[in-house]
Amino acid sequence: MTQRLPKFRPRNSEVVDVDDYNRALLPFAEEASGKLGEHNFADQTTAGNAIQRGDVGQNAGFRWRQTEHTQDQLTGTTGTRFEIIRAPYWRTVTSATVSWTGPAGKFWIIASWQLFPQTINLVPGNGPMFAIRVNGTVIPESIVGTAEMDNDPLGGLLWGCWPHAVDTIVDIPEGENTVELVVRTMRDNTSGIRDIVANRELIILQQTR
Amino acid sequence: MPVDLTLQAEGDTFDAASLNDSLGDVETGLNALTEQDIDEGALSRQHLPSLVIEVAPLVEFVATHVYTEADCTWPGFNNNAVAPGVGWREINTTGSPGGGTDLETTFAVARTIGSDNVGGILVLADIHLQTIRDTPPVPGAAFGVYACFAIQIEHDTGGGAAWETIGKTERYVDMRNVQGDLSDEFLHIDVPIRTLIKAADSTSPITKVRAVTAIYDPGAAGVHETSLRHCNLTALVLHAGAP
Repeated sequence: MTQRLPKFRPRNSEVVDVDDYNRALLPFAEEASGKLGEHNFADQTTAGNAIQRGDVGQNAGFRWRQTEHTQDQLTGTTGTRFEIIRAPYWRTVTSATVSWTGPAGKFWIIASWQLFPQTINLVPGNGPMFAIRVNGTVIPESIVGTAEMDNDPLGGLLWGCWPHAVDTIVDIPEGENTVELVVRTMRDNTSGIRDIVANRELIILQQTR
Repeated sequence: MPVDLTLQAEGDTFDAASLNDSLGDVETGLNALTEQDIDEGALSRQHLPSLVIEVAPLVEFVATHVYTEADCTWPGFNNNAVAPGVGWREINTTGSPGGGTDLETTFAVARTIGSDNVGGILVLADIHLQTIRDTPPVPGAAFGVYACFAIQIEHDTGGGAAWETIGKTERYVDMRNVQGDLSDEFLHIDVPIRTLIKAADSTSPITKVRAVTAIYDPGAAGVHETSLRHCNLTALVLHAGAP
């Protein structure tokens, strides 16, 4: 809560009204119940009064959200492979989406995944590009493959079995939010065996301090 | 705890006792504040200097280290077997013989996810893969051979400290990355691994985190090896809660 001063200060010989008295105490009672803010705490430089890490809840630093998919890629006995359709539009990688409703804040988004081609793929434009998409908007600096959609016909990750990771820090507004790992190719090509995404993890850390 | 304030009403006795009751309610509440009384975002750098409880020491080395198929054959998915033979080899400065500096970091104290505000352990590792090749190098012979990597945690589930592979972190690179003359198969690929170790992965005291490697050969002729160079790994113990 903000710093509070009593609204009512009785003076000598004044008749005290109970409503004034209640109004003087209520702000403290209400805001001390879950709304204490930065003004109400001594900082670490105040000897003896500093908050210790154990004094605060788990959410005082980060609130994490995460999704993952675990898959035996090499022998293919477990898990479900995500096949990459070769099409020039962004498509969500299955099991790499996190949605929530919550307050605004600064978010550190990390994606880590395994790209696995099922055949040697050297056709220009067939290689996949990946990115992080926040509420429908692809974050340009998170694109892996190429960000030059108009000028780079060779764009995409053509060569082989290869793990990747990207991260970005973005401000996200309050309300309903969705973060996804998305994939596309430069060309529209339905022929041939599709590449797959195997192990993957999407981590979202909301800074709450 | 919430402040349970007793309000004064018209007609109530207004004396020292009733005043003290109300003030006492506020005093009692303020003197017993809980974690839940603090609004989200209330704390700043001055109150909570770091968002993380501990940054395990960064381990980093730059030197070529070689791993052989005979020493560390991939043991299968999500398997905890360790080298030599069929099992994971810790990435270290001397390669397959082991005994050098491991790509491994140790926490100051054992960290249990879900306790003491530890919401998870964020692991960040990068491994520079130089080559996958036949020994001695033969053009094309290493085609289809995989260099395998994973993150392991050392935790004590009751039977003493033991290493466990985190299956979701297994990563692979194969020799299809390079075409043409394979007598000198310099890939120079960064193998990045990022993972959040959470309660679903371990609720036991975690003492160490490390990166391991192995070689998977589905049938290529010859004996293969991989060489790694610049490696780094760190682990952040997050002061964090689930949604």
